[in-house]
Amino acid sequence: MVEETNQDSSAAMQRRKSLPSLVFHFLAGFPLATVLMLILLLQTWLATLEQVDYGLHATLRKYFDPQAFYIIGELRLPEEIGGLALKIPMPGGYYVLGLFFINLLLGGIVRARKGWNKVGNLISHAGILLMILSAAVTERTEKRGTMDFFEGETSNTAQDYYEYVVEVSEHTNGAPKEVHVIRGNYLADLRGESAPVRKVLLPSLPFDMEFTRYAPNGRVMSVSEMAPPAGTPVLDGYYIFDRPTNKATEIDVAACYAKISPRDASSIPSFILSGDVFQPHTVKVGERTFTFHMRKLLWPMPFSVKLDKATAEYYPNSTKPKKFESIVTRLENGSEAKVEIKMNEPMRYEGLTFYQRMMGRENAQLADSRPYSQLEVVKNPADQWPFYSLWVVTVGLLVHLLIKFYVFVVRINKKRANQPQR
Amino acid sequence: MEVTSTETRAVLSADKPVKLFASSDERFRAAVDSPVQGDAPADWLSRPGTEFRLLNYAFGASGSGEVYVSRSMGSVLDNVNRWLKQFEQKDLDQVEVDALEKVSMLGGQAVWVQAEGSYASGMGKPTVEGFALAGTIAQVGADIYTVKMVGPKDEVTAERVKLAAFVKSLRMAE
Repeated sequence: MVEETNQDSSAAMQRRKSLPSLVFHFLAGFPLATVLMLILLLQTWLATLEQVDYGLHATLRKYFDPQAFYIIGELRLPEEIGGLALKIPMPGGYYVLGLFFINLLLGGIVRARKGWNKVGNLISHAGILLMILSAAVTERTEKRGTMDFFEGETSNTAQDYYEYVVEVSEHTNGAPKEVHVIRGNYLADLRGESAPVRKVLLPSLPFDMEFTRYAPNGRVMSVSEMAPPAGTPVLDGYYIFDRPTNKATEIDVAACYAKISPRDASSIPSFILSGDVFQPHTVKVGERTFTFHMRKLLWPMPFSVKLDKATAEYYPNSTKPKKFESIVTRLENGSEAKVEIKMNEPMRYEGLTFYQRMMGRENAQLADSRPYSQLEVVKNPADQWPFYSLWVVTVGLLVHLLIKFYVFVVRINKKRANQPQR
Repeated sequence: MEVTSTETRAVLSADKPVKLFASSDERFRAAVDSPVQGDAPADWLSRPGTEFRLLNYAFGASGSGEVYVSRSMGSVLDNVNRWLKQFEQKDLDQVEVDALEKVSMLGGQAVWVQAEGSYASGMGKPTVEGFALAGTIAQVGADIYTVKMVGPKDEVTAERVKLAAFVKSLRMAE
């Protein structure tokens, strides 16, 4: 009877809660936090296993891309028990993290009990929120590329890691004036034998372009090397062989078929564009000369960097780097600054971070051939936020520990004081 | 399916001088000489090099035997197992690779690799039966150099001595 009364009372209280209040309590609740953390744990585990087979970039995109509203995680059982691949559907990691951010904000900050002895908790939760926020900012804004140069060369350019674009340049007196860039997202979906043709209008040029059969890792083959698969277009003795993409997708080389449509209705033969060519394709439209080049997107730097000295040392009898170091001069508006870039000691300047990535020589067999250095260039306003967030969490936990210790000591002293004196 | 593109960028340091009106061969084939030279047997037919073949030859009466020298990526172990996989053979571990026969090549030591059976090159070509592989893989400085002979088993067996002599003759170009 008493139990029934309690249940009625509880139900009545539930009914009394408004919908916004129920939503708030759901979003701020421990049950949701537990489920989200379990999903994140599972996703991290599955993604770690999957990246061995599919590569890091592809796996990160699969699990944490904003376009992945849901994902099918894959868990391959050991061969000893059948080697079956279990398919596990779950929500996209980007949205799980987003929901976890809301949950922690509402439950760990807004609804959490306040007071001087809860300060540590609040600081730690704020640190975790900063960590999640940094992931979102990175996802939305980060650009990554490489800057390659030989000793003595100066560069003002970074090359994107992944995105292949088509560049169109008009050449006057043998040099380009300006480069028109057709971005990779106009090409990336034109896949396979039945790929549609995409027309790209170029209002400032005397022609438009058409593209089809984009291969993210296409190799241009000569018909004399290998017969083309049935139905593959062959242009001037060459065709695109559509290879599977690599695990390390940054080493993929894109290719596609292209055609230009001059506005004077003249006809110009189609041609192949590839990221792996020695020269661009050239076309004359009327009296004007244009080159067409497929390459990774280039982005200009706000300053130039000159490679003064590149030093590479390896562990004996191996290609494992012991020390990579680039001594560079940063050149900006007539001023110069010498900087040493080493492994784990990047150059940070004007919102850009330059990490030491690779080293090599023009001819690996000749010790006196020109050395080159490859720097990884990262533009990410949240670059240092994970580092700061770890400090915030550490400080929060430390404060919490000290407060707990203080409360404990005070309580013990009180207890002792209250005990009757013998 | 129409889109409009108006994005432009200025000319940058990465925009090197180009050759205008280059032919397809000039665009798609390396114009540079091979960094490796060797004395090939007179009955091997020299073919143009490709992006991945520094030296390239055909041999044998069937017309399907080929020998080529490449610069590869990864380690000696990776390359040995890549080749063996093409013949559906199990991977070797480092100890087994270390135990393979060694030959001199380009100033260093190369491992001699052999296999036979069904050959799947992985280049979109169908699997062929009754093929064999003989070749060498060497770490030279920071690079991996390979000499690979594949073809019908009888033809590869007949050419092994010539292949060994060819490997021995390899040298870096001046």
